[in-house]
Amino acid sequence: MIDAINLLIQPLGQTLLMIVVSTLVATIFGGGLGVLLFALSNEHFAGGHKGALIAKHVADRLINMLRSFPYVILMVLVLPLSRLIVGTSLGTIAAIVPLSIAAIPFLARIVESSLSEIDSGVIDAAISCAASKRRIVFAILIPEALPSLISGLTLTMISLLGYSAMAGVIGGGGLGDLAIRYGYQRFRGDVMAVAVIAIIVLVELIQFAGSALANRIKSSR
Amino acid sequence: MLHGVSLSVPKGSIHGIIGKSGAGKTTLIRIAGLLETPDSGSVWYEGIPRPIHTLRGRELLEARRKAGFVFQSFNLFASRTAGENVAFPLEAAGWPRAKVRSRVAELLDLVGLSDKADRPSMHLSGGEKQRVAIARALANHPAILFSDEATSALDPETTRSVLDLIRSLRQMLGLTVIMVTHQMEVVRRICDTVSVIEGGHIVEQGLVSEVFTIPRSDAAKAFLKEDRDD
Repeated sequence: MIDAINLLIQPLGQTLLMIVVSTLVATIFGGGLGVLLFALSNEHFAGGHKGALIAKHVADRLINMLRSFPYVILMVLVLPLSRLIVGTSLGTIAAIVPLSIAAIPFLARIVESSLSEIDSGVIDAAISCAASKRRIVFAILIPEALPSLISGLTLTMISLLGYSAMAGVIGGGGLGDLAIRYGYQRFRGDVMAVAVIAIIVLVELIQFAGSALANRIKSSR
Repeated sequence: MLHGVSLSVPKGSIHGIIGKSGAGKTTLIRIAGLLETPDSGSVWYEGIPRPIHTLRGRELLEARRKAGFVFQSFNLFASRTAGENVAFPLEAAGWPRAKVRSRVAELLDLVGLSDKADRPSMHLSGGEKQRVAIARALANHPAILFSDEATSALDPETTRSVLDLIRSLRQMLGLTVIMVTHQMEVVRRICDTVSVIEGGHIVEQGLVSEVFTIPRSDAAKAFLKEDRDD
């Protein structure tokens, strides 16, 4: 059992590295894309304009396409891209690329829907305060939607944890890889158990932290 | 929805737009207050040489600063305190922090909420929320205050106190006020002139004292009858 726990340390680090970095990347690009999707369909932003309509349509198709790829396939498909971006198509760092690419459209949709849930009257009020669109997004819309954005980010991290279990396919390691290679292929039931428990604990921790933060913001209002 | 509507409101007066729901009054005030763009026609503000809906970018923001807007559902920012709500239009206009602070204090004092600056906006009562919204709308010294059913969600007593506040602010600041309402009481209590709107048309327009003494349109007669029945 001690042996199994020792085996856990490196894969745990790999899993954490994969989900933390890909969440950060997704927050920047997926968050930006989500704001864009919202802006393209909101009447106070670009909504209603012909160009916006076309752009939204194209973005919708692309996002839906990316989201419909089974993750294992996506991972293999982006191998050349990984080589281009991080210089290698193998290992933990390389596994961050497909994870980020899966997370970007996922989070974009979550951000889009969180922002769309804001009462249109609140946006009217922000507009009538004579603020620029950029200021309205950063000073009003994101703070107004913050609890729901944090819940969405929590959801994204947990999905990424699930996806990261497949990183072993391209040598990315991690807890899922440990469970398969030691637990399943080498009949080490103890390693399998330890790896699975570690994943469960991680999910619980992420969910707890996310819910606590969202609730704290809500109750301060 | 609106057809052939022409409305001009003299500076410093309080103009009521009364009509039943679906008559087009909200569309009218949202167009006049720069929240919606008309399909055709134009809106002019005093001191701006072009129709306001042709403005873009910085010019559009400058025009918006001439107009404050208050809403039926208050539309305060839940993520901000009362004071931070009032501060937002000032931040957007690029005021330095210290000046924002003193202006916010001045505005909250104006609406009688000096002690509520740090209260989360969702913890205020309905009347307090509308006062904060009025302070926010007045932050950038607008010339016109638009009110879209601002008192419709309030109880009668709070309605009266908010209306009295608007009247005294008009006096103090020389504001022009345009208010949409379906309540006769609002028109009778503070409006100088009134437009009666029905089916997207203005069917009657004039001094409140005249329109509701000798109503000519059926819509005005109906409002008057309703008012007597109450």
